[in-house]
Amino acid sequence: MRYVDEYRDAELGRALSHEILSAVEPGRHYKVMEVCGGHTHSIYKYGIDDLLPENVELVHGPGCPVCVIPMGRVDDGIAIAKQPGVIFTCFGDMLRVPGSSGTLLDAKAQGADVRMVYSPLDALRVARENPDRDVVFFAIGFETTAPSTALTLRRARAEGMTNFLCMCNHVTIVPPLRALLESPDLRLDGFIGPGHVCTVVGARPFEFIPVDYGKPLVVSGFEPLDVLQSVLMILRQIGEGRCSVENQYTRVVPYEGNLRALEVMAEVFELRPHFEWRGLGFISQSGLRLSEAYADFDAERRYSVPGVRVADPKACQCGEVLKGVIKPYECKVFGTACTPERPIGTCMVSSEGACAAYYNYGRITRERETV
Amino acid sequence: MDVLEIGADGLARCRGEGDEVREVETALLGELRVGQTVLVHADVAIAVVSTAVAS
Amino acid sequence: MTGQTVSEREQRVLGIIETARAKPPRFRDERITMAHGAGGKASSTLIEGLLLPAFANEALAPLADAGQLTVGGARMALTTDSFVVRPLRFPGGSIGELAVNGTVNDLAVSGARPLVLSLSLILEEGLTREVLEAEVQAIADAASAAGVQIIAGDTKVVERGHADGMYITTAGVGEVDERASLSPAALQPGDHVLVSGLIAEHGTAIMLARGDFELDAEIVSDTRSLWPAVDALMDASGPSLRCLRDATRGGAASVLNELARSARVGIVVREREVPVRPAVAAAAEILGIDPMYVANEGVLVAVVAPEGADAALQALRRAPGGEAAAEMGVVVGDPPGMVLVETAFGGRRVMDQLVGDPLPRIC
Repeated sequence: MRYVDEYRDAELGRALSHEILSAVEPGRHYKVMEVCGGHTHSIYKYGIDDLLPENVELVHGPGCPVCVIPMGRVDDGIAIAKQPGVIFTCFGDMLRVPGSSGTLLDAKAQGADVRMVYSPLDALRVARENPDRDVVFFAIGFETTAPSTALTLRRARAEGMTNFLCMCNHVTIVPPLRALLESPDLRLDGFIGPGHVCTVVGARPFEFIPVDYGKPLVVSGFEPLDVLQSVLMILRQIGEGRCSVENQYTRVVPYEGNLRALEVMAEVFELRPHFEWRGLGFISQSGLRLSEAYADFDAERRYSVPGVRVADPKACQCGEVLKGVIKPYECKVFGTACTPERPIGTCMVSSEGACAAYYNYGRITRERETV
Repeated sequence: MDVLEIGADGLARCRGEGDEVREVETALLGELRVGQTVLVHADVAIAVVSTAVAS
Repeated sequence: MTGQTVSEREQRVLGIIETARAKPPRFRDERITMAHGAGGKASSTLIEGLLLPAFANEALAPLADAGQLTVGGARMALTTDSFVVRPLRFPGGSIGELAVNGTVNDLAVSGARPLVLSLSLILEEGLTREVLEAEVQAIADAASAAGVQIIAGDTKVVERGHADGMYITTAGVGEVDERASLSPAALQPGDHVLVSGLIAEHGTAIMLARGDFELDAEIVSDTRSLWPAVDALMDASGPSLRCLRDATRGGAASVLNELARSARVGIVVREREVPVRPAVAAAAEILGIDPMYVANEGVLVAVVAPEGADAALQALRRAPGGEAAAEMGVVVGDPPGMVLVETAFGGRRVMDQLVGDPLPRIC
């Protein structure tokens, strides 16, 4: 496959790993955040951590769209799923995320018609096949998946469909990054930028990171060599005392992004005044809802939902873990009240969250560091 | 995925890493040619992959 | 590297995790969800937390693919399995063929020559004769191919909407072969881990056949009897054969985790050596599922002492469907109870037990 195999070459990986080793200052500790859940996945899948020097630490950021959905929104989704006649559709990994009293999988076990789909277009197909039922799509994701939801809604409107609805939980990546950077106790040296989000929004929206906060950001692809090269580019910036937005993923990401995608999004969505993030609290202008023009497709307008805010458990310190202030094992509930089987906080929900990863792999990682 | 065939309705047949073939919505891209590689998310192509090499 | 010390707090937390891992799973869920059927952690809580304590006995305790008993001096193996696959027919096989091979394979990997089966059919009101006859023929053909007879059976009919067309349960009896004595407890550091063929074909074929997503690829189920492979293995490596497992639900990863946990050893898998067809790997990548967790219906994992490993691999490669058999890993002493993967890219990661149903990820 073009543009894939050449970015998984183990030989080149080792060479990059050596270059990284020579780019770090001995005795200095580097914390680099990969913003996007897709990068976290690559890092685990290929064991990229293992190819980095022990003083380069990758911190998993807030970019897993599933983990950031707060409990109250899951509860609202379940309330809609339980309405008579509703077919509730969503991506597979959302099914397992706990609300205040169970997951969508639990709702399914109790009789709700919850179906997994692979794209919003699949949900639209379900709606066409079931004209006498309301089909609700629980939309999640950053700017990578938002265009897909937007196109689907545009098509639904063009076809004059009245039984397809969307419960919109789309979020945007820049506001949470700014919130992280605003925090006085932040301990990060640079960012691996979210390549797929950037294909849509471009690299420009990230310029504030070096300009206002003095940290480098490198827009990165998702193959293992992409990630290693991006780490090297960040370390070089730090070593040379520079900071700017650089693009490692030029084969896909234009600086300006995808203007057509942005146009469709602007037509279908509008910013919410604020949106709650699990672990990070309310962040202003960080979530999307359907615009007035698409109000008829808004599941939250057709169905009344509890809309109750469920506070993150007090003991949960996901916010601090995300900022790199504490390590997972320093959280009060880690490994006792909060485990991968029964997660409390966002970092334990997905297998790629920082805490779940440490829970499963921590011992191995420590062995590497103490060799 | 590699573009195999472009339909009039914006749907393209594309082939992925393991020779699997899928219908992909391409309305968000400009001019598209058979043989190009596109990045697909949730059945929607969001970018054309170019041969540009990283700096 | 720096010899960074592990803080007291971290040490304590790691201790808590280790203790929690070692604890027998408890069944605490208020309702059954699909995760309880997926072969991962939720399935273990159901089996080890509810069923095992209720029926506690020596033959059941090892939770092997078949239980063993002695009848008039002969060692016999007994197993049972239910089949609820949708769709009933899929590329490369059908529910009837699976119902025979699944049970035959549970016997085979227990080191028992399959002899006889029982067959229970649960049929949905409205099922057509054509479909039923085709499955009955598939059962007869698979039984004949596997050299087993069906000597007992039952039929039930349930109301429309209840059994996806048909469910099948089979039980099987086999005679334990004396050429090898198989037990996960026999695993030793240094043992070689073999796999008998291309993995993840069956599960991927089913997922594609369901048509939940529009994806065309030429992938067919691998359903077949494993007895010829086991027979050949026993001939080739007899006493150096430590343990065999049928890598069905939960895939090769689940089998390796079960072995590592029950033998208190570590297993290192070399990703590069794992035989996966590119089309299967690609489909799995799109679905966000690791092929190591995808079900097989004709693939076994064998652990063999070093001296018998070469002969075992040659034997597997000569067996039907075994051209791609490979040595994919090694047993190590540490870390006990865990499976590690050396990635093709040169890194390492943990291959854990599946937490729920393998659900596609999107991010």
